[in-house]
Amino acid sequence: MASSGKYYRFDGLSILVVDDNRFVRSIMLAVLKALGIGKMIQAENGEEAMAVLEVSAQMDGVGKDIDIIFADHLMEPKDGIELLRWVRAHESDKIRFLPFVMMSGDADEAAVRLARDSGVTEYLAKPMSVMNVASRLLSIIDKPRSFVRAPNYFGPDRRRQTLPFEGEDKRHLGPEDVRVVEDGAHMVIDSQNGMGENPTKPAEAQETDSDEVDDAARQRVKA
Amino acid sequence: MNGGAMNDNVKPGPGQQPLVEIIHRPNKLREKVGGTADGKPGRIDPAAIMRATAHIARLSDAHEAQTKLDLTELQEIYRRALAEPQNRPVHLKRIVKISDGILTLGKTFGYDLLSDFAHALNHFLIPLAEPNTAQMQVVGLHIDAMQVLVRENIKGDGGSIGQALNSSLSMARTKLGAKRG
Repeated sequence: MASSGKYYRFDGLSILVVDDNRFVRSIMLAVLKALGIGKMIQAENGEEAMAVLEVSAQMDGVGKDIDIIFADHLMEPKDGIELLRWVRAHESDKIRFLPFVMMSGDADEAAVRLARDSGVTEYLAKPMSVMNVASRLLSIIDKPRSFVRAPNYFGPDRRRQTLPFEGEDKRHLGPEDVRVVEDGAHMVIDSQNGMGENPTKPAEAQETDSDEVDDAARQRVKA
Repeated sequence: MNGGAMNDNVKPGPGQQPLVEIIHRPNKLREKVGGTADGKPGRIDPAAIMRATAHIARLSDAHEAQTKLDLTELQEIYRRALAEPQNRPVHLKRIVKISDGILTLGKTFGYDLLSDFAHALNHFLIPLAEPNTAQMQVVGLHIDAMQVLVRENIKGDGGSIGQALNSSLSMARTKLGAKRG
């Protein structure tokens, strides 16, 4: 899609930067500040970030929420993957749906796959640069993905694109196994047995658009 | 299972909820940054990009000082890893962490080869459960090479000296690295 040509204003955004290297953190903060980010919060490791996010989850007020997390992979105590899993498992919608950018020098396939399957939104392979950071911000803002809740996964849709597929259909699930829901009206799925429980959605909102479901199920072929 | 058939083990029974939810969320971030209603992507002001780049450039001296500190610590931890085999895993973990910091910012400040050496060191070290003496020497060679790059202020691809170092380290890693796959 062509650009609107309009410049984004980031002064209303609040970003949590998590890295145990103070100098790296200060560079990251300098970059974000220069890009116009309104508020930056620092945490030295995953454990400290969890405390910050817990406070944010309890606070009720406009402008006090954290909008995006940038976190290093290698940290102690609690590394980036542990923090990401904690975020995605959090009971508050304010936390578990947060865009999460994992920063790592180890960007081989296994590391990226681990982050992806833990629910990462974007992966920023080091070295850090202004353009790297800016492009992840734009991607989060302009190309948000729906969230998927499955028995063994909760996070942004791991497929970034739908490609034509002519091969054998190997789907395990059909349209009746997939439900498309709107913001906040989702149920909880028990990760142990894969069955839904504690539905929180009003009955009328549980109706699904069959085309959307078919499309969603269709996309599973490429998973 | 083929042809779109269902897996009976996971298929929900009558009255049970679907296995998978696809949750659509309103794009509040886009609203927050002033995105247009037509959904077209916006841009980042080039002046902000230049400002951020200039900010980083001003931190060049601080980066050099920090890297020297990092390399001194790297050398010390390496010495301890050699002297205390029983604590080697802890020391090597620290080496990976310090090296990761060097990797992160090297290219940002024009030390491309420094970043490459730090990355290569970690790539070599991480798969090694218990490095032997020869493999520990390869670790030391990488630290020494990084010291040379910073001491001589060798930036970019390092020119002939840098490439010679790169080639030697690459051969050492190939010869003594963990077998992958």
